[in-house]
Amino acid sequence: MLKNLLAVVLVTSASVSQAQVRVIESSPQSIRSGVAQSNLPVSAESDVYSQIRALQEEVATLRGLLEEQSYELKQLKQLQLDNYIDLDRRLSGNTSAAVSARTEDSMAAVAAPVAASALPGTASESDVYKAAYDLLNQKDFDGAVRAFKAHLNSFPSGSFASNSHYWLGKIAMLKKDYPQAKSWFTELIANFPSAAKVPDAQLDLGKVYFLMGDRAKAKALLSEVAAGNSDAARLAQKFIADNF
Amino acid sequence: MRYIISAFLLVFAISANAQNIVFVTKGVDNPTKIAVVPFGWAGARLPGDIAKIVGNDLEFSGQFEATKPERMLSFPRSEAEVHYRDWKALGAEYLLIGSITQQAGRYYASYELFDVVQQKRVFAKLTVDGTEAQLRDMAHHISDKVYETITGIRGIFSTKLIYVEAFKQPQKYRLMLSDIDGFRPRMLLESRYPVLSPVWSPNGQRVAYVSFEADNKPAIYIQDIATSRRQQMTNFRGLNGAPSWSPDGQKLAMALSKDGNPEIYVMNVLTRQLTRVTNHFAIDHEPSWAADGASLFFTSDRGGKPQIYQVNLATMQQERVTFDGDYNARARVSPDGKSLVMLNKRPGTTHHIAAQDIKSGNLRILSETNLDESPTIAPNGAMLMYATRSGGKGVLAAVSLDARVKILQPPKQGDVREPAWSPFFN
Repeated sequence: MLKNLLAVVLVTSASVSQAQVRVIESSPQSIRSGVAQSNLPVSAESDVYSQIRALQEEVATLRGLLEEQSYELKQLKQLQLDNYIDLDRRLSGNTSAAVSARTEDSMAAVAAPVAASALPGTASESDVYKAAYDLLNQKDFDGAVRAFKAHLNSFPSGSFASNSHYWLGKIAMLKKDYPQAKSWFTELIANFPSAAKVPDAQLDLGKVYFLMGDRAKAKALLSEVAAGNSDAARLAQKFIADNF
Repeated sequence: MRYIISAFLLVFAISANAQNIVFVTKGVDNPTKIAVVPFGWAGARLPGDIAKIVGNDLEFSGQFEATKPERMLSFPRSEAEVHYRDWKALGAEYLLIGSITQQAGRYYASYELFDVVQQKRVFAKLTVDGTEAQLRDMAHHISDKVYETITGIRGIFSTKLIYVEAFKQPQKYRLMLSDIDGFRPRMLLESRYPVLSPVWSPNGQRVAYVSFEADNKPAIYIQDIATSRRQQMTNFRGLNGAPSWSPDGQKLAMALSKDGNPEIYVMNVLTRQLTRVTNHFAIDHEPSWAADGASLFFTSDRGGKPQIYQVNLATMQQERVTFDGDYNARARVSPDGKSLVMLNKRPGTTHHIAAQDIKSGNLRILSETNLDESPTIAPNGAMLMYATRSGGKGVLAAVSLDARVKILQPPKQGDVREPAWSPFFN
């Protein structure tokens, strides 16, 4: 693939360089004026020199184009892979709900919702999440709970889903509804093991256990968090030091 | 984006003495409010007000807002004198109290931090000591401790800054060392010819820079900061520029044009052995080491436009890393090795400072002013400083790496350029 591209570049640069040579020959005035003080006639050397300069410029431009195109190609490949993985995940997620319903029209059935939700959806997911987060910032906790839940309903595996779980847990904690907080944090940790909020959720889950009186479980979980290298780890260390 | 727009513009001037004012032009949406009570002290007026310096330091981070002493209802000196509801009424979330004593010519500052919301002490009484000249160091130490305790990020208030100050009439250039807030400037070098590109050695003891002092031609020097002892490292024909220290402190990457056009070389500082890294008819310039020391980032126009490339020093394989914008130059790697900070220009705009996530390639514009240059990153990776122009003068500005905090340093006598943020000193 790359070899082919290189061959194309070489061919194109070769043809362009011929074009450049012709340009120089057709305007000898400028060359002559450039070396007027030299006692040589139109020197072959200066001709070669300008040809090399022209070639270098041409190669640089082509190199830039090639670099940009191979980068775009790489990105496209990655995007395609991501889309495929996303599609695959949606498909496997849906099978549990409606295995029997899907037969030969599965492709059409899947393609439609994906096209409808995935592409415009990713843009609006962050808006939905941000609106919920703004409510939280304004301390409208009931409104925020409704908004985060609505966000989870529309985007159960969206890129902000783990954050919504976390804030729902936090709000439940604030309202001293510890069993509810526990279930949000537990779900987050189980369903989004690689999310950035996991250490924070573990820390808060540890605190919830502590507040529910389960000191042993709290300590075990907090010690696990404290062993990490996150901000949560430092807070966990502090919590352990203060309370155990 | 919405956050940035809705962020209220904090323009509070923190005046420490008349000519030195740091402007926090934009803080976080909701800064943590901390009350730093004037420290107890029985003697005559001290040359430095520790509580004031600590308050200024914390505000300099953009993440804190210090309660003004005029608003305080009491000046507690010990835990017994702390009435949480007084501080709650002022909206303070944290409270720092302390006192200074003097013994045999040394000053001892003890301090305690309280969480007003939870109504409890955050850390037990700590003490830091020093001479009269070190009062400011003591204050910066306390700021570091408070900042790290509350944010979980290591504080940078005890780190230093090196920058170049240029004067027009008569023309002269000074290499200056100062505290990170611009205080206590000290001259490291004065020259009639340009001084450029200062960089700290990773251990914070030496500085490498380019000076034109010899026949108005560039050469790279290394200077010991404590002793001012210098050694000239290069004296090649043509360009000798852009030194960059390897993370282990044993090598200097640089750009030399001794073999024709500018190429990247690596010099062993001890043996002065030179290794050529790039060999291309285009201009290769401004090398900067990756955090692991295994590769170099550099600027090259081999693709027709200046862009950042990365070269693996073991395999010498080269790869372009920037694709956003028609100009990307002068890359610097963040301390965690994850982001690249550089000068970026997109078609139709001027030059800005931008940060690129190395792994994903995502680019974020950090600065909004025009003519920004020479970004340098804080050793904790939370902020970066750069040179810009304000009121017709070259000044230093700082921005947090998430672009939520922006700070303008007070103007100096001359034009200030090319800041270099020190590493941690211990």
